Amino acid sequence: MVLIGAGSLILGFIANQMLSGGIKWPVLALAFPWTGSDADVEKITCDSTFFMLDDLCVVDVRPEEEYNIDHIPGAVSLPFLTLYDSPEMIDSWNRTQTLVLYCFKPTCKETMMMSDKLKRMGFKNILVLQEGFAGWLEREYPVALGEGL
Amino acid sequence: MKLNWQKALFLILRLGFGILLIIASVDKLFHPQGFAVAVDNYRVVGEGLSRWVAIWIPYLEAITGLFLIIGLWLDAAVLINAILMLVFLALVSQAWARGLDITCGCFAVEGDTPIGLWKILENLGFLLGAVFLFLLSQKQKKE
Repeated sequence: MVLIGAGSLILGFIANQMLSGGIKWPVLALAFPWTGSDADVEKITCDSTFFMLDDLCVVDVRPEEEYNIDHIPGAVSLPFLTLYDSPEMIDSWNRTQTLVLYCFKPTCKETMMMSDKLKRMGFKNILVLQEGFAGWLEREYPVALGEGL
Repeated sequence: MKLNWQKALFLILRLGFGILLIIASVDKLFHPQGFAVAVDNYRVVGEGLSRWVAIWIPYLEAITGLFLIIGLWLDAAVLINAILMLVFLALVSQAWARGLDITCGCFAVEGDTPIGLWKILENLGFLLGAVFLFLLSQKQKKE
């Protein structure tokens, strides 16, 4: 019985890595505690982001449905799952520009892992929004309404 | 006569549950992300663990169903079948008791039957059948 159970899990894991539309390992890893160091991730406050908005490339890593409801003005939607499924979609992005990543909560594994991934793809300046989109809303900074409304 | 009747019923239940499990697994095998959402909707395990459940259960169902049909490792397959039916009944029942307005996700990732009394009765029927199959398999072993 244990063999069938374990075998199913292993088979399911392998099949999902190979199939398009499968749940890939980086996403499965979100179930585990973040093992990276917070010290490796540079942060930026909502206040600084608001005042420097024109000079930053803000990236919304939440699912597209949430981005379509509302987001930081000028933010680009790049869901965590999308980057891992289609990394080629950001091939044309300028590697020297400063990126600010955010999700809804102040700290989330998606932004940490995204930051790691982007650094390995050659991006030099990556910041994570310290208070998250929740903090942006709390401060009542302007939001852009998406296609969902 | 009694032995033949029991053997026939054992075969029918074995094949029936085998086909049921395989049919239940098909849509979930090809839409794991949607199934992960369906699992998360039950609000039992978190979003992260829902994804692990979503990559595991469809394959467990398919393999168990296959083993029930071909008669391989029957003891284990029959027991896993009974455990699955028990777990499904528990999940559906707790979702209904908590008033969750969700679809079952039992046979299809989207457009499946909503959780309700009929779904609970259906799962109870499956559980009773699975338990009966287990008891028959134990009896077959002794003979």
